[in-house]
Amino acid sequence: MGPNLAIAEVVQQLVNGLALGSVYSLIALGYTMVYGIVRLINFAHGDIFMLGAYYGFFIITLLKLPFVLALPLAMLLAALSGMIIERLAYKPLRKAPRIAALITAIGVSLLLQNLGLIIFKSRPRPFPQVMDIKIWDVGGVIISNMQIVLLGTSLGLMIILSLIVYKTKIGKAMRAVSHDKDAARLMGINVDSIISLTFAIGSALAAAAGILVGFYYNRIMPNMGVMYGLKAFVAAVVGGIGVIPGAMMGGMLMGLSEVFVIGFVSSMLKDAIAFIILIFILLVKPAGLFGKAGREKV
Amino acid sequence: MLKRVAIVVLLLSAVLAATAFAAEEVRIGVVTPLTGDVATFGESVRNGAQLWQEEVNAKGGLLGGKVTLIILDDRNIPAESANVVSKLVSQKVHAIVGSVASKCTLAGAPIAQTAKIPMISPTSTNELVTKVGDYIFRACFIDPFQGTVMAKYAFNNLKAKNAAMLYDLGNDYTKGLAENFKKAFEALGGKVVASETYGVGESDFSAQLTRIRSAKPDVLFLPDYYNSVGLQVRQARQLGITATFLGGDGWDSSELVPIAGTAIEGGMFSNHYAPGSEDPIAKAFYNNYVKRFGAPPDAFAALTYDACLIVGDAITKAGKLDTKAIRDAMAATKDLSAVSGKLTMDENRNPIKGAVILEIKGGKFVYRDMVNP
Amino acid sequence: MAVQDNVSKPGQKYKRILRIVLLTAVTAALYFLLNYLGTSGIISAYYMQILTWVGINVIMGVSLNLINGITGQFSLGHAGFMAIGAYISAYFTKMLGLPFPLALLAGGLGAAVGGLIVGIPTLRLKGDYLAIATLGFGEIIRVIIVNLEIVGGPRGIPGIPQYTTFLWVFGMAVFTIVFISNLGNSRHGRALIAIREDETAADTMGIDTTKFKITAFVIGSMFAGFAGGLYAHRLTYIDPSQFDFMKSIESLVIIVLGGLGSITGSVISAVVVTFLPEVLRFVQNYRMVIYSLLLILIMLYRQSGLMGRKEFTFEMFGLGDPRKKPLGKSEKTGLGIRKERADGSKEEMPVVLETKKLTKLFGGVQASKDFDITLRKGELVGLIGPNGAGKTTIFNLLTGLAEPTSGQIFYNGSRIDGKMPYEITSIGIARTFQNIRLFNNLTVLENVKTAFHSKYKYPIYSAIMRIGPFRKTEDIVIDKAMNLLALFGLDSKAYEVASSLPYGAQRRLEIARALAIGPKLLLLDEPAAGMNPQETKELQEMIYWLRDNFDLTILLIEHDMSLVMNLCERIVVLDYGLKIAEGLPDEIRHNKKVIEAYLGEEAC
Repeated sequence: MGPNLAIAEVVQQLVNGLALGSVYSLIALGYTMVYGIVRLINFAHGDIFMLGAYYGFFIITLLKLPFVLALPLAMLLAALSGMIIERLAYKPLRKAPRIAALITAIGVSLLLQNLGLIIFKSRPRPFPQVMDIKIWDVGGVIISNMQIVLLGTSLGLMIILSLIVYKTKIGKAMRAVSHDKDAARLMGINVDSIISLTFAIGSALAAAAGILVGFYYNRIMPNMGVMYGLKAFVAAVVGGIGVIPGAMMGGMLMGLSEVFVIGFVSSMLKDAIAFIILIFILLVKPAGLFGKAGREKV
Repeated sequence: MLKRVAIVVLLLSAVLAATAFAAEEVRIGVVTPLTGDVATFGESVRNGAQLWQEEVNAKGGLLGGKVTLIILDDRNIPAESANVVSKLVSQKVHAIVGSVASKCTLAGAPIAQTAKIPMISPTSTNELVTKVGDYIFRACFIDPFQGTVMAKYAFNNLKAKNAAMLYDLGNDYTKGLAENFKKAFEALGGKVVASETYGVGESDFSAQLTRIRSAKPDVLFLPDYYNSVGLQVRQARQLGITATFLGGDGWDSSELVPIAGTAIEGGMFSNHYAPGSEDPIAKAFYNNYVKRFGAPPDAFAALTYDACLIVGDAITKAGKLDTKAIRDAMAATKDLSAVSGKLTMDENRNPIKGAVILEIKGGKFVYRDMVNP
Repeated sequence: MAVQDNVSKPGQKYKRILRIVLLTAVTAALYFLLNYLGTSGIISAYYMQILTWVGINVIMGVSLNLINGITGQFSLGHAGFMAIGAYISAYFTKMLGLPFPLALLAGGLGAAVGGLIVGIPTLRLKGDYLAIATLGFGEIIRVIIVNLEIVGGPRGIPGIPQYTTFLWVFGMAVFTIVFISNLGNSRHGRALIAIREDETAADTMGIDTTKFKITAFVIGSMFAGFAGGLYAHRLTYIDPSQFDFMKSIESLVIIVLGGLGSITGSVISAVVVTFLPEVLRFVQNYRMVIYSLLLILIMLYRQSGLMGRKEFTFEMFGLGDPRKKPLGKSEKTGLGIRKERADGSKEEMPVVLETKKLTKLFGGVQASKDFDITLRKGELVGLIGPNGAGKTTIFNLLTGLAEPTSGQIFYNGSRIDGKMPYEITSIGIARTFQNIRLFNNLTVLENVKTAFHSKYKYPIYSAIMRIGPFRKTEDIVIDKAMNLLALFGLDSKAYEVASSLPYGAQRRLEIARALAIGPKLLLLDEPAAGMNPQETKELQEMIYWLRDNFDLTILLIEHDMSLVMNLCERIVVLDYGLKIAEGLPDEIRHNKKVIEAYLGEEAC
């Protein structure tokens, strides 16, 4: 294998990894934002990702809307779903021990998956073809227009999110609430609304990831959220749960490490990689790459 | 005069009534995953069994008795499957059809074996299944056979010298097929230039396929189910892999082409029967199934139908609803005309049958060849 | 002293024996009844099979309850240990042809080793992180098994000999229940519960929290291994998919439904949960949906599950331990007049505590810098300073809850910096906390009993098997605890839940609990917080009395200036982590730097 081919393979894997990573990042953002604001690991987040994919599917096939409209519409629906779940299942437990909230989140996740199995049926569905696939061969590296759409949309959404969080008043309110809920309330911020908004945004991003995945891989299933959700969660923890840039970096890292381990070590480890990374991070630096260790006041 | 008529009528009614009472109901248990992650397969199995039952009852039942199906869901969970078989045993069924996944059949079979009730799995391909005991049968070919079939076909008919494989290493079925493929292909003199794996639920194979691409295989063996294979072929073609795609009976689904798109054109897989087959039994089955359920049957439905045919045939040949006699008759099945060809049980209670090679042409499954054992 | 005399009165002994006999009889009767129903065919083989699963689920539930419910460590990977037990035992019988009891034992031990390997790193984490880490490990175990060809990989192991009988399952289930309840009702159990209630406080009770968390985890995993072995030899076929996350969730549902911490609850709910899929067969499409809704609804409306933390006890039948009955009003004793002390010159007294250049930095924040203090035996010294001056940090450093960045701490001449909190407690340093850290859900008596953990010991096997020093030591502990409570006027409230006490009484309890350790140095962190003048005066008296009657040296953090000025013989002042003044109360009262620190720039 000549050096050119080797470089081509590395770059190819890089492209693969970035595409995968951008999906993880979008989902990871939802985890991290919710954890940052209510200290809850929203187990059901991966299933919102799944719901988003199905919303998009039905919008395109039943309402016959084009992709550019389906995406925001599905995001909106998912945002609503996320807010409803928060109101019904998580809000009542804000003062409860964390374990109770975690168990509830597990329950919601199972509920969504099984409802999905019943309503959407277990068989995987192909996503409607929304654009013709164009492929470019750049020196042995294959890039498709789908990858560009995937990466482009993900990055675009992440940029929009960053703008909202760091440059708007509402973003400031969100950051305040995640720092100190009570202080924020004393400042006149409607904490409940901010929390709902956070869930909404996180869910919208997950839904976008869901549609992009459906569109890119051409397959959606009711349990597609499980693996993606888990890996994205690990990504969020690696980046530093509660830290937004951490989630983005973590997602990319996750995607790249998966691809590179498979590509250059062994595909047998793929399933275990996410867990190994998770355990490693939790033991070595639980706060994650970008996180700050919180101290319990004694 | 009237009195005599009345007596005759009474006598006739008595005889008829006696026959009706004497003709015992035939109870067949069906254990299948109606809910859970493989619910669609489970439903196909149920449909296949129901189609058979309705046809048999329309013709007067078995041994004069009506056939009743007791269909129970095992959720594709082994412990649950064992419970279900136990329940069926307690309900005194005469035979059991099921389950779908080998892991479930392996859990339930020992119970049927101990209770001496014949059990036939339509779709469990793990060779260990029938080794549980002499009351356990199956209606499909086994993994070693299928993997070997494709390997031989690739080497002999397609003249492939290099092969690559991509399979789910956490799934006994795909792993079994892949390992047997490799063994057979290499025994023939071929070379397996790349062997990549993934875990359950995976949808991104770009990393593995990139490696496969570098190995430049003639054929790429993808023994997984259609929902994964569809993705794999798309991604492979996108990456520029030109190899011919080969697979097993897991490809058999009307969803394969919609998921895979044009990428699957020219792909070939081994199956139990050819949907477009002119064989009268297969054709009748196909048409009746579409009429009854509004959708074309898949291999799961066809195999279940065949399994039921085997049971029904055995009951008729046994002449009595004695589970030992039924078992013996099932073991003696010879040249039974079924949807997937003529069935004969070998000494391990596996059917001796050929595999059909299907090719995807113009988005449709087209019969290409037949490979006999 | 009105203390219940309780040690081994003849009546008590008979009642105890009667309880054991009754329990054994009922259990045996249950077994024989079920067995008869099964073998005679009245209950079909199908239902007997379900009962076998019930037994296995009881073992899984009760063992998980030890980890999650009793010790409060949220583990989501229990199925992984079941898998280890299942696979090892199956390997022993099928591949090695060894007898079943040996295989079962091997499975349990293997799972215990697994628990040790997983527990040591992950039990350093808390709450959510611990849960996720255990989930991760559970999955890793499964993936390892999938890749192990020697045990069949994804194919699994079929044809395992069916050695599990109803007797085996019933017997193991009973064994598990007895083992873990005995463990729960012992000094070790108290330690575990203390860890659950408040790990930091437990640290300062002389409990080696790390060792105990790991012990609970290992024992819980071992029983999961036993369950796995029984499971494998019943189903006769195992494959990795049977031990996935959903299996862990099943056990979780059992303990949540039954009540985290209640063994009785776990048993009842194991029965319910195992039968539920059968009962729900008529809505089989919606089974999983109902399951998940159940989980959510329980959390929303009845978090404590069926039994909360209560157990089925003999009190319900009048065969309870009479010592547990509420007592009458006690005479207020002990808090007497301050004893006149021999006013020997303090300089003769040996140095109890000394720190040298004690420094603690949190990142860039200087919580304490070059702090020097010397305490002699019998002194009553105050540590004051504005909020955030670093006073509690000093306490944390002294008790081992924080590690110094630099500097040394000497207790009775030997260095203690860097030691674990429980080690420091056992050499005689006790403390109270700024925000009272009682074990809120435990009774007053249990709070104090817990503190006797390192003073009155007996080995763990004695607790589990109820032989040896267990009985006698427990009696001594109750005795001592009640005596101590009486001194503080709390004995009448011995069986009330700690959180139901009025604030002042809670403070007293916290101090009483600290004294149970038998310390020589007592660190009190803002004991007068939230007290009115009358209560503060009583506190002042009590502190004198404590120092005199218990032969203590006391270091006191306080904001209440009148208390400090009246009480303390010497005062040390901190500001921004630095010692800015030290001296007699009068000197400090007029010290310019001190006034500035408290009031800002203006001096008065």
